[in-house]
Amino acid sequence: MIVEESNDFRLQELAAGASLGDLSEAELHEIRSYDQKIFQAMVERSEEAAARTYLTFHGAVPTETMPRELTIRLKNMASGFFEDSVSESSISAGPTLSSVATALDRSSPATGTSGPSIAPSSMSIREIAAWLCVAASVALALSISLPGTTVRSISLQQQRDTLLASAPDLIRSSWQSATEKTPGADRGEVIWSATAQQGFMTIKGLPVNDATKEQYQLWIIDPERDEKPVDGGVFNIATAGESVIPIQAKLRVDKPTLFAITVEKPGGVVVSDQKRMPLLATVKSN
Amino acid sequence: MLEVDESPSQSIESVLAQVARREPGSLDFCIERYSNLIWSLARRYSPSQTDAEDAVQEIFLELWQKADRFNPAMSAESTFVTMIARRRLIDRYRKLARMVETTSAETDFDEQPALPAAQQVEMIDEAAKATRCLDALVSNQRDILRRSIHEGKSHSQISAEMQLPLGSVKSFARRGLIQLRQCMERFSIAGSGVAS
Repeated sequence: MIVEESNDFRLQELAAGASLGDLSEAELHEIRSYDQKIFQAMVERSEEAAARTYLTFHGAVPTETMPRELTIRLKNMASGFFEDSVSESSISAGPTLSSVATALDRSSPATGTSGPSIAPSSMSIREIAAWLCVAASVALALSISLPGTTVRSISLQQQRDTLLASAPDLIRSSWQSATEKTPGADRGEVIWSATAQQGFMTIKGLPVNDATKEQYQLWIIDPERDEKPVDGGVFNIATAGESVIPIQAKLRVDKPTLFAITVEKPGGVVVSDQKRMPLLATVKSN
Repeated sequence: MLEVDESPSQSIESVLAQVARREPGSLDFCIERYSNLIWSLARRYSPSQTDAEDAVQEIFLELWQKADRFNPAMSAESTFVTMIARRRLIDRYRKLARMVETTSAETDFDEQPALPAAQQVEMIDEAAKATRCLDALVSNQRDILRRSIHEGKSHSQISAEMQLPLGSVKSFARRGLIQLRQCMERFSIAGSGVAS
């Protein structure tokens, strides 16, 4: 294979820094002066060299065996993966961060800061409070009921039914419009099992989205786990009516108190500005 | 130019190709094949076991979603998997903005179950090629890259451990990686555009 070598050593150096995760804020800024396609191509070549280097060292030492519980969790996660992407509603990878954005000055102290172009990864207490305030106001304004559901996706329906029948710790809550002031139409519901780490959304009445322009994203708040909302996956509504969508929680969720759907750019976001939040589901505490 | 047959081994069936074709059981097969590799990476680049477990889930999701981008003519599958995993882990590292702790790395290891023979051959073959390039580095560069890339240590940690100025560590690491990349590409064992 013939690979054209760049004569710009600084470009190579920055690409190496990006693939090692050690770019400073000044260097992150400097990167913007380069053609991003050329830079990204160089970063990928550096990443591949780093990956081969890792594998070389990796082969020389014994490696750890993944915990059995994690293997089971992964296989549970895998069980609905193909159905998700071929059903009417689909889940995508969630936030996709560029290689450049992965760069952190790892030579910085533990409290180092990220580059100015990078969105913060965690929500502040104030932001969390904003989420919960919206949820509380919706809960006060609306009566919460558990609607019956009819769904079209057979495989997802079966998985959902299985979870409903088997999960001893099932949490379920009805979707409510975050914008309507009076109790509205049946919007569907969300179910979640902490034991199975699995859940489904039944959604009615959300507008069909153009996935090239915007997508829906689920967020789950579990205050006992973390102050940050957990990304529950990015999905599309392909047809009017009702959709069954599996939840793809990126992290473990044990005691969710709120589920919220926002409208985001394609691929989703790391931190939502909450400007467009069509549905919320609050979980009643026992 | 030295001519060596460095095309990635295609003697084993690509599990990622099976995933891309949505073959039943391929995801479980993928988990079984790469769980220990990804877990080892995650443990080294994550500050805690909990973080490592979260990272592993994110990595497998991304791997399945990008399975169709794997090109066996460009790289070995294990290289593609490692690229995806490292990128995700470094991204998480940035978000956590913490130092990586690699505590008990020597004591917690269990013996890894044997990889499929064909995959072992592939990895050994890849490693043999890369080792040639690593051997060409000066010892400090090689040591710094081992600590950085394999052990997941920050440059500050490496600086303290090796009693070298931080700037020197950074410079050695970057220039060492550039040298490695150029060497690997000369040997035609590194491709481009593997994943994005």
